[in-house]
Amino acid sequence: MNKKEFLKKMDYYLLVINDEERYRFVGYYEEMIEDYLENGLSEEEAIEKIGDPKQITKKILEENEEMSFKITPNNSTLKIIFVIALFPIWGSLLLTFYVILGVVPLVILSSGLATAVIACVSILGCPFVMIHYNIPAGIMQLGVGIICIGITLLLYKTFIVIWAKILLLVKKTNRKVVMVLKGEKE
Amino acid sequence: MDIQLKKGLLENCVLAVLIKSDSYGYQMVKDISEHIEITESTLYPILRRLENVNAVSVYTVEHNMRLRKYYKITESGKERLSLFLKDFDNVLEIYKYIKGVVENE
Repeated sequence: MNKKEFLKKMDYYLLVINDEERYRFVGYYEEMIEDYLENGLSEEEAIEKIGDPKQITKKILEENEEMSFKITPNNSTLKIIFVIALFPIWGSLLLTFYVILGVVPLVILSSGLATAVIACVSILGCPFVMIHYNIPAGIMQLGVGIICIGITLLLYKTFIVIWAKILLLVKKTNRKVVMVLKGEKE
Repeated sequence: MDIQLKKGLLENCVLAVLIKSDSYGYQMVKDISEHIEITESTLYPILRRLENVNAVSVYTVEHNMRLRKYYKITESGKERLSLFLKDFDNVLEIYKYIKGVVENE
């Protein structure tokens, strides 16, 4: 892995935090690598010294997470009955929550696919339009195709960011649900 | 060493190394490593934390056509250090007490 890839990976894993923090974080490591290079190490050696981007960012994200969720004290049996009896309600709510979460990236992705297809068809087809109809129509079709390329790229970028955030949100939610259940059962 | 204990010590090591002179990340890792184990990744959150409580301030200097971030200890940071030293005098007292009890067992 070279310096560029290392920093790119770090930036990706940190998409879930705000821009300023992420910028500072990556900047710190870029500076660190530069200093190692200045002192004679190669890029691979410096990166090996620093560590694996995934592990590093994981640790930082964990530290920043606030445990605003407290485990309730136990009066076990009644609570277990409660949890099981109400499962149809909270189970369905939880499922709905996940489905809605999943729908958002799905919509973005399919929109992106649609615009990509429009872009291909428009651009490939515009010569035929120019021949069969007239030049201005063909140019307009070309323009539409190019605009769609732009929209596709924007949607793709948005999809990547939202996907990263949703994955983290799902992990967080899972953890909290497990904690509630564990807290009830003890 | 116990993790919590190490965390507290590292924070004060960082402040101490800045008393001599302002410094930057790579240099701080090097200097502190002479006394206690520290990595780039452990240093970063400590620096962020100290920055957030205004114990250190940051400024940039141009070096070899790139920007380098320098850290400087503030008055508040220096107070933090003397508080640490005072606390540790108490710790030493308790340590002597415990050691005395354990060794006389």
